[in-house]
Amino acid sequence: MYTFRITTNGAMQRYKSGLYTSYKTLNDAMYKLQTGRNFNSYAEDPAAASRAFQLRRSMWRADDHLTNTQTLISRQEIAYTAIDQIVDGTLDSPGLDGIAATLSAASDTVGAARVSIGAQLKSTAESIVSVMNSAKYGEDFIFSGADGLTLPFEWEENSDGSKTLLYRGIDVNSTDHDDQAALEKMRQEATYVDIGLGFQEGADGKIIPSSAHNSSIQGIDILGYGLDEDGDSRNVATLMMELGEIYSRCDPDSGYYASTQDESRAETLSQKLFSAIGRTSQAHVQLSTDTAYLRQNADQLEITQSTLNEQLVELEDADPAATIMDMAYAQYCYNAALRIGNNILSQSLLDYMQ
Amino acid sequence: MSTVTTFSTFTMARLGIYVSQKALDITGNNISNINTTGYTRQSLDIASLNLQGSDRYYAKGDVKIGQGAIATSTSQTRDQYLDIRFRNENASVGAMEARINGLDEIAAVLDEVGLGDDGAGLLEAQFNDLISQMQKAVATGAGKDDFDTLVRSSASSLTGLFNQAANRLNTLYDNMKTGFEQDVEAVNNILTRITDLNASIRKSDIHGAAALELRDERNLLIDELSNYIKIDVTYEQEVLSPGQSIERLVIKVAGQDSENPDANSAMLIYGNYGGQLEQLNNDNYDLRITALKNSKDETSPDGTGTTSVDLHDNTLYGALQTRRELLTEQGEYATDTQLGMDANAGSKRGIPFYQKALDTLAYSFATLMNEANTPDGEAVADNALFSNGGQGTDPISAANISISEKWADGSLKLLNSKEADAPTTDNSNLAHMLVLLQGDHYFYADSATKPDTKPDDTSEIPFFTGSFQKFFTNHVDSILASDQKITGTLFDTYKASANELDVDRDSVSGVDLNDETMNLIQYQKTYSAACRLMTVIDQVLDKLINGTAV
Repeated sequence: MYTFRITTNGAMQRYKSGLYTSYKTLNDAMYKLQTGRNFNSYAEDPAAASRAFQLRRSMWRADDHLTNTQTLISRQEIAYTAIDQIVDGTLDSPGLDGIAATLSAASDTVGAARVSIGAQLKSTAESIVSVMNSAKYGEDFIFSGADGLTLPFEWEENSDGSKTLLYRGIDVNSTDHDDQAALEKMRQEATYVDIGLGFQEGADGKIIPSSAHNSSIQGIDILGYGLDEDGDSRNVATLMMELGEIYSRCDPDSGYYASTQDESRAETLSQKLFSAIGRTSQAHVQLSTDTAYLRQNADQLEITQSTLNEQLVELEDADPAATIMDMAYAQYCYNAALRIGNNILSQSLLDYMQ
Repeated sequence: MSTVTTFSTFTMARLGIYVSQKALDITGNNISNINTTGYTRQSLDIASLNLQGSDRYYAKGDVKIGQGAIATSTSQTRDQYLDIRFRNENASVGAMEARINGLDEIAAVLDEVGLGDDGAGLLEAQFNDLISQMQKAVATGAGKDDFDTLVRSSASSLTGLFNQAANRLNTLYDNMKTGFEQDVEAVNNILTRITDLNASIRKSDIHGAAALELRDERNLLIDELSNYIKIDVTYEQEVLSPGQSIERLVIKVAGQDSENPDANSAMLIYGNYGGQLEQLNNDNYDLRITALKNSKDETSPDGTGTTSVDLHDNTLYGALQTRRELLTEQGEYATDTQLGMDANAGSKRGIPFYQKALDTLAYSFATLMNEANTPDGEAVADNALFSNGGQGTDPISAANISISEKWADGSLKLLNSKEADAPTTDNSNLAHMLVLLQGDHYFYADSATKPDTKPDDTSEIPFFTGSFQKFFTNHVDSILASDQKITGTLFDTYKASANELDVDRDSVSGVDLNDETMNLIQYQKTYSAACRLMTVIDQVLDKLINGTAV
């Protein structure tokens, strides 16, 4: 603005205004250096602040997803170890080795081992259930699906001395329609965990499966359940238990089967047992694949964390060199402004009056 | 009468000395008052003395010779146009200064940038923590008390932060209300003082005195008033008698609401009659200008300003109106009445907007979580995780939100599943709660619209769609920050402009040392010259009296 006459007070007023601005700039530069932040209030840079909160939120979520993924990996590892124990333990068990030999045995010396093999098979069947039941993560039974506080498997002794395997209270080989429906429903159970896949609900108010990870592991999916087309169990433990019973009934001296029916059944069941163990092995592999996927997810989340952190640092953290330079320049300007102030009042015409 | 006498030139020299002396006095007064706030530099009005007599003795009748100089008056140098421009700008400075101060105070409650651990914020961070606890509960905590406790503790902290923010906003509102009342009092005080000064200046004018210092004082008060209210200042002539008139100061509201002309140019001061602002004590903090009266409580005999004028919602502009708006404007929550008074009310946001926004967040959060925790067919009240803290039938708000008694004493837990006979670790409902905490919601200004009602199911339009955190941090806080930034920029602009105009005013009205030094030198010389004139005349007369015909 053009001003034709600058008075003493006018000059002072302008100077004060300029000095205030200069000091404010210096103060802002010093505060920025002290806090190390590009902005110290939302209003300083609303767009950056809004984005920073969004980034922090994403980082927090990535932490949660990583924690959840690592929790799931731990659960899977416990489950994997348990199934490993079952697969390797059963396949390596003397009982199972003995089955093939005894089935084809012509000599009584081999056949005589059937009774002890039977005992071993029953013992292994029991131990399979024990292993499944002992797999826990915290308080949860891992193989109980969504019913983590309930023991998954239980042997129920029948009046004739035989044993029925119950899964969460229901006979795994039940022919009852309701029981079968209940087992089928259990298999459909899902306990979804948010591992960073979106975690959304569909229009039905239920979690969209592809947006989450289902942490539910059903024990019957591992050991098998229900009856096959011949009416025989598909469950490893019950097959093993039944085969063990047949072998136990053999003559302890000669090893002969108690009946021809037993002999025929032993042959059928042994084949089905090997098939069932094969299915358990497949579940084992599937679990391993799932765990590998979770590990990849964890790696990806760690990369995401790192990327988000880099973005946040870039957004929020002031560059020390630039900030120091800014402050030095602001200091220089302020000092210059002070020097000008010293000159404003120093001379006037009065000083030259005689 | 002849103007020529033997000793008249002595009188001329005497007048010259006298005028120079007075001019030096004025210069001295100017220098002495260089630091006096509001002082307008004065000057001596000097006129050439001419007695209009004829000098027939020695000249023709039409030869006129002046008889020296006389001081006719002292005057001030002011540019009223610059006054008008400065005061207009000053109203904007007042408006923006009051607004930026108010917004800064709101931001002190709601702006979470740089606060909390590692600058993660407070409410924002607590929401994050609650989500993390819920994540853990979903992952491994279904059916376990310790996870319920973790979620509850985090939720309890969240409600505490809601309460704290709401209480601080309430305190801010009360302080702002007190500030507004003090502003009204300050304006009334200014109006009274200007009216009193007008009366004194009027008396001086009648008696022919300049009353310059009183005018300076009045100008300062008008400047001050212009910060509170945008005003129109005019100087009329008050006719006292035929041929005699004096100045009358008139101050009117420079209204912003042309649809209500009466209020828009309502008179605040009419000479020595002045009005007062009166609060109507309603929720809209409406104001009225009382009838204009003098110190004897009389109204003007010419009938001007004898009735009170109710100001409309949008009449005023300046610091007072801004404080009023900070106390009343609700932005998206504006009522139909408010929108009727001001079509722009929907985009003006004061403390009530931020209070209501926080209430909407607390209410929506609590309502949705309470519903989520209620098994199908059961009453929400029996399964509510959050309550209004025992505040009767009041809806849940930021100020009263708290953990329900049942959840607090452990008789109520997070509902794992809404399925009948759900397995022990079925986390489906916890997962739903997690989706609620992270997911998007519809936020309505109308409290009658249930939170999260789909836009297709209501005639209301949600004013924000997003997560709880986004509503607070990326919407409400962002609006506040943008408003602060824009207002700050405007304030700087208006302030700089007002400063420049003030410097311009000072260039006309202010005292300058160089100027006054020049005057000192000049009047010193004229004083000396007048003295020299006297010496010369003395010598001349000495020759005439003592050296002629002797």
